[in-house]
Amino acid sequence: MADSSAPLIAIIEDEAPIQKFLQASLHVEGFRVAIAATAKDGMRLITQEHPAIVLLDLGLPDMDGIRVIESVRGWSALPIIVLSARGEEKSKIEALDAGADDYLTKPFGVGELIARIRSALRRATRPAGSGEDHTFRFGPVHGDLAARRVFVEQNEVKLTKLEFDLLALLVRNRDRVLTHQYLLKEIWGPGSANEQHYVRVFMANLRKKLEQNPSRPQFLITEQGIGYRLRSQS
Amino acid sequence: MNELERPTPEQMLARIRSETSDDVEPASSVGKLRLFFGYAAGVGKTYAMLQAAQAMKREGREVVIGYVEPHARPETHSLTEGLETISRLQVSYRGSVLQEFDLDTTLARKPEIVLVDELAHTNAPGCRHAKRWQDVEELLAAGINVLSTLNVQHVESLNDVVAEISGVQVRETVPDSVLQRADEVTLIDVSPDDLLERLRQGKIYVPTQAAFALEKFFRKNNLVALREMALRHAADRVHDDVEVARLGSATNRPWPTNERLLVCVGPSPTSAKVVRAAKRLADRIHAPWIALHIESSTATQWSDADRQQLHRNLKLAESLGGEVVQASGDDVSQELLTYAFSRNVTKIVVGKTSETTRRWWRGANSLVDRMLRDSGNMDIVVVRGVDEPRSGSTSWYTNQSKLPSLRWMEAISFTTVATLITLLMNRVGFSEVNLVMVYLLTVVAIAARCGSLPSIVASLASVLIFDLLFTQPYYRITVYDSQYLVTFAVMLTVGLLASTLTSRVRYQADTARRNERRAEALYRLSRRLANTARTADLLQETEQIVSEVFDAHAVIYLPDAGRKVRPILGHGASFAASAKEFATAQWVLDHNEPAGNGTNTLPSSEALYIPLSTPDNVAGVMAIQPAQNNKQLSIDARQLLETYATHIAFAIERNNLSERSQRAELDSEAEKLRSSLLSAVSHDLRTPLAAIAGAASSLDANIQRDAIDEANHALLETIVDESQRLTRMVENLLHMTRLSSGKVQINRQWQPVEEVIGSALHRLEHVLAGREVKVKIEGDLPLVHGDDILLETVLVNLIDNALKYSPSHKPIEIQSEISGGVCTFQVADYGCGILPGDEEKIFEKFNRGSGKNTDRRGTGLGLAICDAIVRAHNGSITANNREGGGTIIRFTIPPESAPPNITPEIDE
Repeated sequence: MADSSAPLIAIIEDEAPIQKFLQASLHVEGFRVAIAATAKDGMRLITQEHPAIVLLDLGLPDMDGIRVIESVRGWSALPIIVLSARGEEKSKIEALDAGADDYLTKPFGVGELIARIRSALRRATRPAGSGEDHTFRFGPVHGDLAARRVFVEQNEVKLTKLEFDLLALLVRNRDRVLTHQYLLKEIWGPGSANEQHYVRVFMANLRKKLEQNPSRPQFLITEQGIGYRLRSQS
Repeated sequence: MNELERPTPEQMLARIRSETSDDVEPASSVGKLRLFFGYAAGVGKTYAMLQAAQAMKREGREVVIGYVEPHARPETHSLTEGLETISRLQVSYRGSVLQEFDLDTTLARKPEIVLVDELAHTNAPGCRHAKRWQDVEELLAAGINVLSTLNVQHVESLNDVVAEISGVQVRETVPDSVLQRADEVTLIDVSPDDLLERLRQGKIYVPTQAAFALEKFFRKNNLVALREMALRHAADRVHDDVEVARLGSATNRPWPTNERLLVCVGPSPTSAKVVRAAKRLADRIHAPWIALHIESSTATQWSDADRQQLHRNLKLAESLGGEVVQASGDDVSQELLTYAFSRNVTKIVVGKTSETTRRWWRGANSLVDRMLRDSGNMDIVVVRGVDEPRSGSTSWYTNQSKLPSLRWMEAISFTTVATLITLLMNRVGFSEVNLVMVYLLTVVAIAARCGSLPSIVASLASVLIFDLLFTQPYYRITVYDSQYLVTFAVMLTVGLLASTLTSRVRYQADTARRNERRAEALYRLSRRLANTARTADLLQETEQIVSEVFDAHAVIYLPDAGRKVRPILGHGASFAASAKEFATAQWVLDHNEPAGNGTNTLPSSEALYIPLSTPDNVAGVMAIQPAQNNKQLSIDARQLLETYATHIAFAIERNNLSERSQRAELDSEAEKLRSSLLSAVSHDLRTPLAAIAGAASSLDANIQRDAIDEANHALLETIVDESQRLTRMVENLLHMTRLSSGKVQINRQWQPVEEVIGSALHRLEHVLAGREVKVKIEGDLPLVHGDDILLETVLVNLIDNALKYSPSHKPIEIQSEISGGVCTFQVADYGCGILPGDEEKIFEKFNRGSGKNTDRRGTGLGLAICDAIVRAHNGSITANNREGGGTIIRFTIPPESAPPNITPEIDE
């Protein structure tokens, strides 16, 4: 199934049942898998085996997972997906702020896991800045970032400057979770860290203009307690 | 109880304490008092009060007449029509039947507003309170609003001024504090001419026995003066109201001058006038005031009448709101100033005639003079005393007649023995100087043993005897040798001085002994209180000590859980078992004020009842009955008793608290154990569940890709769904333990309602599986102020419940609206509803309702979690059946701050 040219996935996870099911599922999908049960082993794995992506459990026995992210980010842009339980939103935000690319809440289905891995790999292989497509499409919404125009089906939608900036940021990071803090800092500037409601209100406006049913959004997804994600396929 | 935060034992104790103290003082529901204030009878107070009552009734408020003078004019009487009247209490007193206001019936009836005429009225003996204003205070405390009437001459602090102007002494007075607490004072005014005209027309009700006094009263110049007083009093009040409004709140009353006033109180009737003058002055400058009595050595010469007058004066000061302090010392002015300096007093008020301190050897150096000299930068206000006849004859003679004859016998025998000795010595041939010495010794001895008066008489007698027996010519008063005159003068002077000095020493020794006894008694009490751990022992010890110290029977009543006291059977004191007596105890417990014998409340009780109160609770009631009948406790003893009461109250409270804290500690230990067990279990459940769900979904994905087997796919889907449901349950368990351990912090953010609902629906996407959901949000992008994750949890649980308990083809409706800033959410289904009576129960832990659907899956934690989260947001959650079947669950999230101001962006 998995040949030696397949991407290597490093799993840093101390629970044996989870290790086992991850290994089996990913293997079936054609990935190579390397497993570490502790943060120390995990770091060695990352430095020696050069995996394409890391799945990291935050509750490791020997070290806080966030420290692992921080030290990896010191020298590598290697995609990291964090695995954690519900009710640990604070540590998820910390992980994302420390440089993790995405997170998955246990329990997760294997379909979702594979989708996240693929999209993270895609982002990682796309060279930064160059060859980026100005145009985008998700569902009935499409547009051109360079021309600053957005359409739903055939009808052009008027967005304010900030709404457009918000949408553009989400489009450039599609399928990735962006925290409230990150969005605030990027769009409103570093002085507005305590004004979370700005992001929320502008996101609601954006939904009203782009989503068919704003109270059941298909694309502009709320990751409650953390931030937002633009889901490119519904 | 709020399940969200498991309080620490300290918090729990604080809460318990605050809850119990709430029972004592329902501070929030105190009634309002509106006074109709006039300067004389007949100005139309009752009429105005009834008009106001009629107007309130028209507004649809519940107005009841408690008591209105029955002899009112026809116009007034017609205004009572249409108002419910509480029947009067018939009290028979000395053969006649008196009609009184029925306090108990009114309290039981508990109307919104009650009319009680004539606030200053004195109740007939046998009523609960001596005065009607006390009845009114009780009504107000019970949360009933009161309308009442009052004339200016009944105001306590103005009483003497009125007497001076009108020449009529008014005995029925109302303390100024009652007037001050009135929420509204309406001045009713007519010109004196009109009033006199009304009197002529017979429109003013005049009781026949008071006709003479009233005639004296209703003179034009009297009325003009009274009117001025009433107007000025009302104007002062308006001024105060303006001040309060200007400076913010009523609790923070202005003390712009930062002054403190001290008034000297003595045993003369003049002192009462000085006290009233001081009270008026203190009011004018918004200063607190102290009434100080210095007990000097002269106190030993006072008659009983003097003591009673002093007692009355001090009581008057207390009732006028002054702080009563007693000190002892020989130099009145010195003691007074020392105390005044120690309390930072700025003004001292003294009466002009202060005869007790006027002594020939001090000359013109009167109390006032010396205070003026030594008072530093304090102001001395001298109030003119009125030369009223003293109550009772002057103390000197009454004192003499009342002294025990034994002392005189002793003095006489001393003198006789001395005379015998001197006769003997004279025979033997001692010189006269030695004889004089013997007499001096005798006088000093008599002064020491028998008091000053016998010693003065003895010194006179010795001079006389010496003159008769030992100087020529013998047995005659005349003296040949003028040198003896010097001897006589010296003998007399030394005798008088010795008597003054010794009596002063005796007095000081007495005072010291009394203080020592007091200190010793307090020390004994606190030592014993500290050594008893059990409440029962504590009570026994206390009763014993109090009985010993006050020579009285003492009983302590403790309230039970329902704040009721019970009669104590088989107690040594006979009154403890009487139902009537224990009713008094109950009253004291409820009102936190002394009552019973010697007070104005329920004075016919056998014992005096004192509340054992701590600052925030009444721990019990102490009853005291002097062992000798008809003896009342002195002010001194009352003060000591009150100190005792505070000590005992704190000891009881300490015992109660330590018992409660032990219980609370046990409870919290048990709760901690349960929480950690639950959290450990659910943590351990999560990992295998995640693995099961993941593995099954992986298998399912493979099968789908290979498109092998529909049946296997269905089986695997069940595994995934069920393990996910199990995970949600485990998460609920974890949530609940976290919420009840108080570890959850509410992180409130302003967020669109739409987003909260949207993310909850998104999370349940898989479970909803195409089920119709109607979302209706009122208003343009409303915001809710709450914790995003917790609000989502509430909605997820409610929607999940709606899914579980309603048929799959019926829609689920979610609504939200904002009114008055409070955000309301509502989740409704078309399911089977809730059984009547279960509306509250379903929010309890592990309750799944007693309906037909108990076979449905669930831990019954979902709604308990919702309840805990909503409460943590200070909101409320309710469940109801909807018309036509189904359940509506509604919860509110009130905001904690004003909504944010988001400036709309200008479109490019």
